[in-house]
Amino acid sequence: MSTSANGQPGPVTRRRRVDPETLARLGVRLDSEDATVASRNDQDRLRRALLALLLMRDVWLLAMLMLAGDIGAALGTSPVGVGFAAVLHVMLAPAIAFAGAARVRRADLRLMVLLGGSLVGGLLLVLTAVAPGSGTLMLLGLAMAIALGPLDSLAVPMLAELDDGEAASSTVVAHAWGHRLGGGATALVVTGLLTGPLGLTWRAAVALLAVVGLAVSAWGATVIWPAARSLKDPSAGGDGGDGGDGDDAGALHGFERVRQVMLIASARRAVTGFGLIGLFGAPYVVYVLAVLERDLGLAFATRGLVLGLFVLVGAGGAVVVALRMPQSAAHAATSGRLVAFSALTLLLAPVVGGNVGMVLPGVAGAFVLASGAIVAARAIVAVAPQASRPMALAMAALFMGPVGVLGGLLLVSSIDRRFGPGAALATCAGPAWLIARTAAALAAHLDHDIERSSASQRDEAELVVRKRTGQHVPMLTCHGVDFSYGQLQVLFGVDFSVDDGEIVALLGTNGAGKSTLLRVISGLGLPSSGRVHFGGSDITYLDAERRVMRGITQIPGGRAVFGPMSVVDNLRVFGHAVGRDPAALERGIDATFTAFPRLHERRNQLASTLSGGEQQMLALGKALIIKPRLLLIDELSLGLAPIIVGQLLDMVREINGQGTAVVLVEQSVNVALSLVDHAYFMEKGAIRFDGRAADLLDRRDLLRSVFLEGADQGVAGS
Amino acid sequence: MMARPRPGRLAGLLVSSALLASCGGQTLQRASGLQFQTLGDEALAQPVTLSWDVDAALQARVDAGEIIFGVFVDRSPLPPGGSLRDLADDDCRNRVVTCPDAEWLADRRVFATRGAALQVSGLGDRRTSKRDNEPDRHRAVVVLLDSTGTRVDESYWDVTFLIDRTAP
Repeated sequence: MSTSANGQPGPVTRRRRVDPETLARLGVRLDSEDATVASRNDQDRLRRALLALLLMRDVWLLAMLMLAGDIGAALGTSPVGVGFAAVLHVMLAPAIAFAGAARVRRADLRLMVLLGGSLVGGLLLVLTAVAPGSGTLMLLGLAMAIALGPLDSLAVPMLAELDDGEAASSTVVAHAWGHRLGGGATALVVTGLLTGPLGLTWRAAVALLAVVGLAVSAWGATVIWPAARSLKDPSAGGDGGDGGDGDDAGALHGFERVRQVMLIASARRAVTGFGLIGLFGAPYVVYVLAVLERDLGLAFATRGLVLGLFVLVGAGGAVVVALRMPQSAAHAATSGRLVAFSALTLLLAPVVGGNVGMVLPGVAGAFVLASGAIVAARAIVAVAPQASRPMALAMAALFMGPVGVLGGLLLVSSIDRRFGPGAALATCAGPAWLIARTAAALAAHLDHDIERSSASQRDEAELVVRKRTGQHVPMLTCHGVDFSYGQLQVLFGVDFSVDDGEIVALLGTNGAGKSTLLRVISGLGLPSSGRVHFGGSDITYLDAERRVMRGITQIPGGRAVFGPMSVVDNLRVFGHAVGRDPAALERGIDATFTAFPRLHERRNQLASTLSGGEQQMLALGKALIIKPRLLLIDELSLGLAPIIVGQLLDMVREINGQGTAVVLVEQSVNVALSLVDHAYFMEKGAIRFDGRAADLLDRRDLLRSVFLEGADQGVAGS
Repeated sequence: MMARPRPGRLAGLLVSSALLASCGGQTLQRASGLQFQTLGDEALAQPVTLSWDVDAALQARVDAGEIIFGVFVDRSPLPPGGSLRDLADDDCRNRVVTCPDAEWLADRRVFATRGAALQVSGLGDRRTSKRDNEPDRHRAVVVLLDSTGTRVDESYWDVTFLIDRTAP
């Protein structure tokens, strides 16, 4: 018992809160001095609890797989029914994981989902032990897929966030997969022992595993529940925030995160690599069991024991290799070589035959499975942005389950029919070889992507500091933007910024990438590298329509109107695009007609029948209705008479005068420089000049290279 | 004054109670009253004789007419509570008044017997790859049926055996 300040016995105070560092790594902002007790022990306990939940999940899933035959005979379930349930599980669990990763973004909620899923999973297993028939069992199995589906994709990123730095978080991933695979192997061995030598029924085995799992989950609850409460409790300094997403309006939605992850080369390789792991893993497990049964005649329980031992030795080796190599790229390179060697070993299965011929491929297969998974998961954790890791791992689960597992079984079963299970097992050497190639490719690119990821995080941190310390932050910033159309790269490390209320000209040669840069800013194009910030938030991967809601509007080049619609309907469409209320919309339309009386005269005329100048006026009306914070105008003057251009420029000045910042892409330097003080000049996809418009006129090296010869006279004369 | 129960312990108590109560009606130990006689590792010629030893307690139930053995070869057994009558389709019911009779069931590799041996013939080739060296493996499952042909519980005993496919 502890003693209070006045010397009287006081209540025992248990450490229930997670330390501030942990909260910060989980993406929670810490503003309060009263954060909580700083203790490394809390962090270790949380890590152990998450690992324990992962372990139990795989114990349960593999145990049910191993008991399927026993259950089938006891309950008279047909193999077709068991297979159907397994396929449903394989499809459903990743889908639930995906939905969970997309919807559950707050760290405290993630912890609660993990804990709740684990406890519900345990209770479902209790119900499974007393299920009256196979129909109920199937429903319980599907409920189990829903409860446990998100566990992996949510727990592994949280584990990684508990340790700072690439090496530490990679090691945690190895631990996580070690626990998962260890759990699987334990399940195989334990169920084999329980239903074999110990002679228990499947119900007794399931009940035993349920009780153990519930005990583990209950212990986990004593750690995870307070951690989640601490994250939610504002007095603990946490706001349950969105893992560093900033304000919720700027938080990426599910498919925006998918896009973000898949644009990182290493993450893309790792996520799709999980498809190969499924393509290899499912046939490996099925055909090891098939060889053990059909060729070697081993009993059901013995098969589980043997496969469990294979996994313990093979996967254990992979985990040891991963733990000894804290650098992801070096580990991927070594694993690639070892997996390639293991792939060759798999070919021994049909050649050698018998017990000896089974052991080597059996262990090698488990090594391939574990190595591939650890390399790919480490890569994802190393390069994917923190808040997008759950989504990346959920995508990996989708690739591994519905794509890899089902595809693998379909592919190899045809080999089995023709040449037998040994040959089917040897066929797994193909996917194993591809896993080795993927690991080698990751080894070659990981360091580069990790560096880019780190640089991006540094930029983010710098931006946060600038905002907090009241330093100037431009309204729009593009930093190091690369963009490619397929294999053709057109933007190269573009840095570009616009201040609030500023009007900027973006000039350059034909094909320099000016319009492409506007597409990147408005969200019509996604950069392969670099970041776009708007209003202090990262909008690099935000959908284009959400950028409109945040105040970015683009008037594309050419005639940016809906030709088959009338003038007034065009204006209404602009308004409805941002959900304006009817009164505000009517005011915007009136403002447009006041600014451009000719549009009022043609209000019921089809837009396609307007002249070029009138169509540009109509397009500019969009800005008057939406009143954006940033207006991107592409080629306003192209093909128009000077008098019309003058009217349009007057309107651009007026729009700017109302507080809207404007980026004007122009071929005509006369037009652009008559309007702006700040100009950028692009050539061959890169910014060649950033400065005062007047200074650009002195850069004859740039101006001479294009169409702008004589521009200085033009501007001087204007 | 009563001690306030802790939520964790209470939950544990509830789960354990539920588990014990529910499993009370179930057998936790695998049934042991029957043991197949070893068929050996050699492939057998058809007809194959499956035989088993029965302990005294089980034999007493058989002798009392309480149970008979249902043997299912290369197919899933009935679920507990399921009856042999459930196997009959409409065609069978329309054709034979006593359907399903022993002949109809045997065609579907289902047998009901009070004895401890059974002769099985006409088993099809189950090899998937048709390789010469792949054994043709079959599985028989014995369950307990009551006198009306209804499976009485979840207990089962199974055996696998090989059929010789080298003979012309």
